[in-house]
Amino acid sequence: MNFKIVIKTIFVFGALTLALVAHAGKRDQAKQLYSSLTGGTANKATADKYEAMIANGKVEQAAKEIIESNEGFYNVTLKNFFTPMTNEDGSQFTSLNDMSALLIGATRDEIDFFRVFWDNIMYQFDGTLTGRNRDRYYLEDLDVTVPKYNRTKNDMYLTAEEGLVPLGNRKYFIQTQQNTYTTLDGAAIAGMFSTRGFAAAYYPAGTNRAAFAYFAKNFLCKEMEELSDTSIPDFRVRRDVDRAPGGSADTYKTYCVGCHAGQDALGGAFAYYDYVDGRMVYAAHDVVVDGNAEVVGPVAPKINNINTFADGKITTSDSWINLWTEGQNESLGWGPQNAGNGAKDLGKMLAETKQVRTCLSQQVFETVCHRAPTSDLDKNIINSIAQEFDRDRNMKNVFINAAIACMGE
Amino acid sequence: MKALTSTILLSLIFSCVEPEKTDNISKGSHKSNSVTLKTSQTSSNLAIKNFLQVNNTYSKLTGISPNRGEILDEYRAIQLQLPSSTDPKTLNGFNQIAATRLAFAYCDEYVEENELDFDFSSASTSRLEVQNLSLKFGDFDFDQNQDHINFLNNLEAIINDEDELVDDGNFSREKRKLMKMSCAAILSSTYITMF
Repeated sequence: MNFKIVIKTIFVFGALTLALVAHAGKRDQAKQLYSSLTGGTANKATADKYEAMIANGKVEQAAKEIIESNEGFYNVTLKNFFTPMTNEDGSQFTSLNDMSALLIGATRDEIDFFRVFWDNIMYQFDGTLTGRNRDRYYLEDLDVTVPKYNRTKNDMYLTAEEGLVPLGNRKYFIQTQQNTYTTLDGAAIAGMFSTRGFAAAYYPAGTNRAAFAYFAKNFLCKEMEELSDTSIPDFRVRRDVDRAPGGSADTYKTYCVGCHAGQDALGGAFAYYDYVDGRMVYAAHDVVVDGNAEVVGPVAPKINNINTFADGKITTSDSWINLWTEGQNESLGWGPQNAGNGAKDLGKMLAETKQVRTCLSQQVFETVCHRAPTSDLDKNIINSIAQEFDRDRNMKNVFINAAIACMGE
Repeated sequence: MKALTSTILLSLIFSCVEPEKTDNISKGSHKSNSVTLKTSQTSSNLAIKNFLQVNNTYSKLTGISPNRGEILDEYRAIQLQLPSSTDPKTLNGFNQIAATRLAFAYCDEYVEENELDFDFSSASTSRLEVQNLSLKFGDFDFDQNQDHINFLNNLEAIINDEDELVDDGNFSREKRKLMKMSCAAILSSTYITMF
């Protein structure tokens, strides 16, 4: 397209001041409901349709119809919502992967959403097997071919996204189990924590502390600094944490321990996981000893690698304890299980944590209402949505309730 | 040339958001009535569409798949220039230019594909043609809303080439180009690119 024409059109149009306020009342509500759920714009025909439904008192029905009749809700709104949770940068530009697919699928199918933290479920694309090696699925109605799930690549999800496969399509985007796909070890399976997408984001390098830190950010709406509580005993703080950084024991006691005491106690749940050469590794880790590769396990070697303080906690299993059930973080309303082994147990505890409901409700509110909650009214709305979420455990309803609450008078 | 471009960008920024809407951005106007989840009294604030939302909106309104060659190429080329966030405070002139470029790509395909909706055998354009095009993309009230009527008048000015933007020598091709410009002007307007 001719650049001059682009600029001229912009110039001509730049002089126009558009009125964003059109019809009042039900029509505005209809348009607001449509745009907040789909991220799109209602034209006249669409506005006519949903205005009539709202006028007839069928608000919830209208919301559901908008969701199911427009791929915008799944491919745009939910993709935008969950994608930042799949990478440390919080970027929306990241591709669909098995973690975001799980979160979107669980929302679409209205299953108990909190199963995404522990259960043996995942979402994949399905179709007719094709290719010389029968390693691809042909999605006939859409004329799209996607590779089969691969434990070392994101090909399936990337190709499906590029092929614009509607995530609302229940024929081609299906729920299945993680067994044999994400891992061969059944003990590793723990909802999103055992997806390749989560592993790629939060298990590479480091000490897997990112796994809980980013869970807290994305699902508890808490940065680690906000969770810091220096009154918690530090017997689970690992050996790699300096007890006198810069020569000052006070710094450790007044700052470092605040996060590490609770975080390292919970972080044991991820001790068996690693991410190496593009794939998640669980409990069987390759190390080179005298030039020969040996398999060691189950604790990932990186967890105990750095010995800064010899008397610190040496991780020997995937046990975890929640030390934040007392003190300032008690208010998060943790699930009843205070200790356990592995990410699955931890996920079950987190699945029952009240703050997860409030946090997701608040983020949905901000997404569909396009503003942060500031007034008491906003906060009351979020609390109501979170309570409803606690009852029905239905993430789609969180979006619907928030969109209805914010569609105006 | 640089001065002209800057002026264009500034004019875009100031002209694309209504004054009362910018007040909302800074003040956050919330009403304080009692809470009932299903019939809440809150009103939504202003937000812009991000890259995914813009692309999907254009596709949905025009009925053109974003996977088509030229559109996909254009989208990939400018994806990072489209808004990355829905926060209106992040909106800049480059976002608007990118949205306009993408709008042109869609409109190029849309006008060619829906040729029968337009009368390219006649040099003149009826107001109805532009009106129908607008209603395909947005919910305008051209009977009573004066702002929308003004909007339609401005579209007519584009399609009638009052600013002599296109000089093709062939009235049919010229009208086709002007129709694509009108189409792109609607899609890239704040009416479509903002919530």
